[in-house]
Formats: sequence, structure tokens, C-alpha cells
Amino acid sequence: MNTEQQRKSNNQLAKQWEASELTLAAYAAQRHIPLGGTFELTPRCNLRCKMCYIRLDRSQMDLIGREKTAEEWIALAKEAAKAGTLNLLLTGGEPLIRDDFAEIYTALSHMGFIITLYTNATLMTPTLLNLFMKYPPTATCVTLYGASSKMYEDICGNPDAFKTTINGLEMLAQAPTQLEVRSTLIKDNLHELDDLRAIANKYTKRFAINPMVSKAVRGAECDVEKCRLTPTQIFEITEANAKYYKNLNGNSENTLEHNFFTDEHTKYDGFDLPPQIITCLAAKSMYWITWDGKMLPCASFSSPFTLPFQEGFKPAWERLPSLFEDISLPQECQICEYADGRCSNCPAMLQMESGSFTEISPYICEIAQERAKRYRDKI
Amino acid sequence: MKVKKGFLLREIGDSHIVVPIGERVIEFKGLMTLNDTGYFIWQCLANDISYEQLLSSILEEYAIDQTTAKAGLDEFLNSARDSGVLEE
Repeated sequence: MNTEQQRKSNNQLAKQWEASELTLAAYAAQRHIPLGGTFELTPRCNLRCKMCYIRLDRSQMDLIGREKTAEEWIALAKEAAKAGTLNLLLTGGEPLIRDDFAEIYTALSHMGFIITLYTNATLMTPTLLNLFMKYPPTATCVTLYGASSKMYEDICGNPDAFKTTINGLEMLAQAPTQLEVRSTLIKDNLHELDDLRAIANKYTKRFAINPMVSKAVRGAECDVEKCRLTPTQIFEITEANAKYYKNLNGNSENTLEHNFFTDEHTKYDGFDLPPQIITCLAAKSMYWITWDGKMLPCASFSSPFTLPFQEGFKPAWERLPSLFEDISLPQECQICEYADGRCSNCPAMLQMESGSFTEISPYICEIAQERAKRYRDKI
Repeated sequence: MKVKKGFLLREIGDSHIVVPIGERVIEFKGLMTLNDTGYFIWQCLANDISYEQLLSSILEEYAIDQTTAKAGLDEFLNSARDSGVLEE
């Protein structure tokens, strides 16, 4: 495809996207504007969830690098805003574990970002509630891991965390923020789905599940084999939950549910924009900045990365796609019969699962096979 | 009339987008995308200005007749009032 044809094709795609709710994302991707970003403020967390792909102890963290200071995050946020970032996700680890969270948050909430906060809610205090009452995040997503103290002990290593999560939810429900509860489903809590949903629905209609457990990245440790659902379970639970919401709330809530299941790909013709190996908006209009200052296309990658705190936000963003230009999927993936949308063909998932871009992952293949079996006539 | 404090005009590429900041997030969720005329009017509303002054500024800036300018201005102001961003 020559440049003119490519531009024409991109324009047609942009028109299609602009007819949907992704208008701004389409606009941003075409212009390589870093519209959506994540600041992973810390890898530390007061919980020790057995399926967590990102958590580090302080001692592990110190071996890898150092958390950026409040001053550094605030300065970087100013650069990000100038470069065009509008949607900003604050996450961790557990972001509220930082002593200087309020300082960072207060500064960021005055820069013109649409802020989403991810938290386990256990560290909510009246002081933080006052902050969120005054300067609410546009959206707050609370993770709920179990419907009892026993389940929190089994999954998060802390039975008291069930109570503190509920206390946190009680507080956050008072703040003028769009509250959502999300549950990662693993072998342990799969049978609690109805109870988890019932707890969530006391505070919000928005409840989403994540049935996918990823292997740990960037120095974290997690024994996924002991936790993760089988591909059959993943599809069954997703379909059952989607059906529940479709009956309860109609298609909009159903869509919300699906939005979080990031592996739910159907055949997708992305923009012909660099880096072509990445078929979603990562590195095109979205980025992720790790606690120690690496800019990645998304949370699932470990490398390659740029260094926005050192080279400046904009140069780091502009350089990011070029790092993926010479990377291609394994030969097996390129000729695979499921490469037509039944597999996400996601390089980040591949790197997470196999540790490289060159080795296939049996787990990803099994999911693609399961999808092919279920949606044989739908793609 | 003028724009209330607590709204920030962001430039995203060539687009102009109004977002709430701080306390304003409580009453205004989401964002407003401004077209060229909307951007012009928004800038005029940075300081207290009357309807007549606004209309005459638009007529000076754009080669359009008064009826068209008035219709466009009314549409913008109604939308801005609905969104609660105006102080009158």
C-alpha cells in the first residue's frame, strides 16, 4: 500500500470510528496524540493477591529502581497535558499506599485530565474522602476479590481486608464519582460471582469481571497456573455474566462488561499506523508509565520502552512506536488459521506468557481454539 | 455573561476541548468539544461580555449575516447553559 492509499484507507477507518463512541480516540490515533495515559504510581500494595501480575515488596522494588517522587510525577503530568493527554488513569500497586498520594492527586486534578482511579479501597480514610468529595475523580474502579473475610484471606493474604474494602466502598459511594466494582475471577472465587455482584450492586450498578489472569511482569511473581481459569471457564463465565447484564440493563451494561475483557477480539482491521504489530490503540494514542519511569504501550509489556522522565515526555512518546518496528509475531502465529480474529495476536500478551516475541504460548493458543469452537459462525 | 471558573480549554491536536477541573468535576462530567466558532465564542466569554457584544464580535470575525450568526450563537449559548458552564 503506497502512502496515498494508506492515507485514504486510514481516513475511511477514521470515518467509521468517528461514527462510533471512539471519535476522539480515532482522531488521536491518526495524529499520534497521547490521548490516554496511565501513571502506575507504585508497585507496592498492602494486599498480597496471589494472582497479581505487578505487585512488588519494597525490598524487591529497591532492587529494580525507585518510585518517582510527587514532584517528578507532577512535572511529567504537565508535559503529558501539553502533549495532549486527556484521559489519565492512576493506578499501582495500590496508589493510596503512597504517603504523597494526596499531593500528586490534588495537583493532577487541576490540570484538565479526565481522571480514573483504580484502588482496592482498603486504605480509604475520612481525609481521602474529603479530598474526593472536593476534587472527585471522574471514575473510580474498586477491586473486590472475595465476598467474605475467608476469601480475602485465601486470595489476598489478609482476612481483615474484606471489612476494610467494604468500609472503603461505603466511603467512595458518597463521593460524586462514577463508581465501578471489578472482580478478578480465579479458581478460588469463581463460585462467588453472584455474591460479589450482589455486594457491588449495593454501591453501584457498574460491576465488571476480569476472568483473565496474566503472568507477572517486570519483576513481580505470581503462580498463575494455580489461579487461572481454563479457557472454557473464561468463556462460560464471561457469557453468563454478559447474559445477566443484558437481561438486567440492556446492551449498554453488557458492553461495559465486554469492554474490560480485553482479549475479546473479533476480526479487527486496525489503522495502518505504526507500530503495525500492535493492533489496538497502544503506542498510537495510549501509553503506560511504570512506577520507575518507563513508558510502555500498555501494562502488559515489559520492553522495549522509552524513558520520559529522562528524555522528556514528548520525545519519549514520539520514539515509542519506532521501538516496535522490527518486532514481528512468531512464524507459527503469522500462518495460524486463528490469525483471522479468533486470536488477539497481541504481542504484549505473548511477551507476558512466553517471555518473548518469538515463542508461541500454548495458553494463548488454547484460548484462540476455544473462541474458534464457540464462535465458529460468528466471525 | 462569562464562563464560570473551573473550566479549562484543552488543545488536543487541532481540537479544542473544554474539561472541568477540581470542584467542577462534581457538576460537569465529561467534556465539551468546540468547533472553530465555538472556540471563538468561548474565548470571548473569558471575560464578562453582553449578548450584543458577543454577536457583534462574531459578525466582525466571520463573513456571515446577522441571522446566521444569531442562530449559531443562540445554539452555543443554549448548549453552554444546559451544561452549566455559564455565569450570567
